[in-house]
Amino acid sequence: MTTVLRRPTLGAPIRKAPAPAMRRHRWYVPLVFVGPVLVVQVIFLFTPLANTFVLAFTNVSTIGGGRFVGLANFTALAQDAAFWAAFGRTFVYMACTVPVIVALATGLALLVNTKLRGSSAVRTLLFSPMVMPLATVAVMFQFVFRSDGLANQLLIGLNVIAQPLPFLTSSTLALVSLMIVTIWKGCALSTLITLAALQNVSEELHEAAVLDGARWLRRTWSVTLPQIRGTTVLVAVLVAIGVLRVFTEPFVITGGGPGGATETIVLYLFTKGISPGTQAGYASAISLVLFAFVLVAAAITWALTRRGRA
Amino acid sequence: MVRSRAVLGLVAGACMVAAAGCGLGDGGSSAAAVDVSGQVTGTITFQTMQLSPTFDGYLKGVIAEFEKQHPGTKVTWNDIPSNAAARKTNADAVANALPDVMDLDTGTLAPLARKGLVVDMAAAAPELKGGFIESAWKSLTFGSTSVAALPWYLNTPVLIKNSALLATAGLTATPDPTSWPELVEAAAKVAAATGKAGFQPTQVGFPNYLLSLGVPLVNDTATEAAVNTPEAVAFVESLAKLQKSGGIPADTVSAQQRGEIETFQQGATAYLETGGSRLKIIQQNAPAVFSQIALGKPLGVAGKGTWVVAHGVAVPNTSKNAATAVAFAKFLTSPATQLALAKVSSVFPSTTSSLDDPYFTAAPAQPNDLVAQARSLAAASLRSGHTVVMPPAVDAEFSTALWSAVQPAILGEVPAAKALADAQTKLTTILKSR
Repeated sequence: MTTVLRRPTLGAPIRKAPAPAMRRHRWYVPLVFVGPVLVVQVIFLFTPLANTFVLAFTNVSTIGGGRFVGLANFTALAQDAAFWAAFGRTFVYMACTVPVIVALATGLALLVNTKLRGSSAVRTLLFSPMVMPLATVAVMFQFVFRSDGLANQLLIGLNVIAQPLPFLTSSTLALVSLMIVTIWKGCALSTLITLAALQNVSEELHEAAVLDGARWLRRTWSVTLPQIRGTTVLVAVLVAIGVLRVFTEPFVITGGGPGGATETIVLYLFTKGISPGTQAGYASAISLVLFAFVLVAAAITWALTRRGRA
Repeated sequence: MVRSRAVLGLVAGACMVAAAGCGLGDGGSSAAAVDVSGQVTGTITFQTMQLSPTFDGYLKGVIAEFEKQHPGTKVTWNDIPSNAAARKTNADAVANALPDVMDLDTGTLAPLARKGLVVDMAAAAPELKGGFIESAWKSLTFGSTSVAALPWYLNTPVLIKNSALLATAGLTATPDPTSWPELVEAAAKVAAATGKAGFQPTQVGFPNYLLSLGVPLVNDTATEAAVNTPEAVAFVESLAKLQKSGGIPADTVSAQQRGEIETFQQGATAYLETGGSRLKIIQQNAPAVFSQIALGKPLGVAGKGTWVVAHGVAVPNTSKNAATAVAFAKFLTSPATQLALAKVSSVFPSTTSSLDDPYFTAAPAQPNDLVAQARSLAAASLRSGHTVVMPPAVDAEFSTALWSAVQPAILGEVPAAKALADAQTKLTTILKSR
């Protein structure tokens, strides 16, 4: 059973060998795999998305009707003081929570990555917020922040304060309280991502630094952190995008109050376009503007940190 | 070239789908009169809000009786959770697929009625008007639609009191408060004597309090808000004082819906104005507090009036079988059918003759039967004609915006007059956008 390979002779016509059976039918194979997901995506994601684009230029209400009104919704939005207040509040929220989450996540990941006794138990505890639904977390913190809740009892018990703090009933403190919830919940996933990056940090560099006499702090600052900079940026971008769309915390815990002090862009959108008979067209315009903001925020963060990734 | 055409085609297709999906071609309102004089026959769909499984037996009986009285008819019943009712009704309205007969609260009914999407019952069943409680009939009037639905079951409050707290406060011998300002006074006394709150104001209740004080909430044409009146300012200022003195719970402004019932169950408030149906919940959750409960007449019944809310039975203009649908709506809201519902539930009928039944008028067989006492008190309030309905424009969006605006004033962060002036501006913008 020897196979003799014949070399084609010069001048003879080269005939293309027939494609194998798998290759001939290859064009539809990916479709079979992707098709069901694509259908679901088209129905439940792309069509509503396209619908939102169309609705943003109409005065349709949540029960239908309406007509095209051009850019009227966007003009009204530009003059809507409540929207700009919600916009500013959301950006303050982002500016305060993102650095804290990134710093905490990096710190916690460094600690968890250290080989210490009981670190696996700490790891489980750290990641537990990730598996809890945000609505559950929000309800839990509503009890924590009540005037007679855990936070006040703890602070009074430790003689830090004499009177309960109005965590949820002060226009100033309410937003800070919500930020604490976002940070508590957001740290878990960010820590997990950072921890994964830490596992890939080169041991050789550490050993070289040790030989040079560098201590833990110096090694962390000069060796570890530069190596995970790309992941840190990714975490920051992901958290920023998530925080720009913050909704559950203000919706469940404060309802946007007191007096709109915790009303974020998405909560404002919700009040404008979800209740019966409200303005679905206007709410769609808000969601388009939010979409643009998220894109811009992500692009700016990405651009600012380009050097770090290089 | 071919590829770019395909992309263009896809984009165009997506836009068409999107435009069709959003119901832009619907045309919106159509207040044209619907012919309901046809033969009562054929199949209709009937949708209720969270009545199953508790009232399965009752509703199946009503449907069977209707089908028996009208041979050739078939009613297909569907029950939906109340928290999904608004979204489903909105989606059905956009898709022109509303059920033939709908049980709706006023908040969900209002936008349909304002756009003239439901049969005007003032035209379809004018002969029934006299049989209903006037305030219930009026509560279903929205914009161009005189009466958007036939009134079905009602709810109106009684005053529930924690007699142990009132005894500690030395208020046992004092007559019950009959108005909100009197309740505020009593709450201040309770707080001073016991350290507990008098009552807990709520977002849902706040427009009712103002209405009961004589604040109109909106102008005659419902195009402008009217909440910044001296009575409203004085009331909000009094709430701010109570917030400082502990007369209302410290977490009032951040409390969730129905939080006032939880607070009362914990024995943290002395008064709770709510529907009698809550008594069973309190009995179940807090038997110790329940044993201390005494009942009083609802606030406002001796003055500008106390609140009443109605569920309506509406028929959409798009119904393919409007004659049968209206006939079923009439049957469902007839005095006998409503009385039967009231006897198996804790709601009240909207028909005056049903309220004259001994079930509502007779004294409770057992003096300690709080549920029967509450039923008797609330029915008396309904019969007295001292019930007032919220202007139709005051819906969930209005209530939320109003409560949000007065929250800083209750907390003492801004003056009440400024908060109400801001609220008025904000609410007028909402009304004008409709």
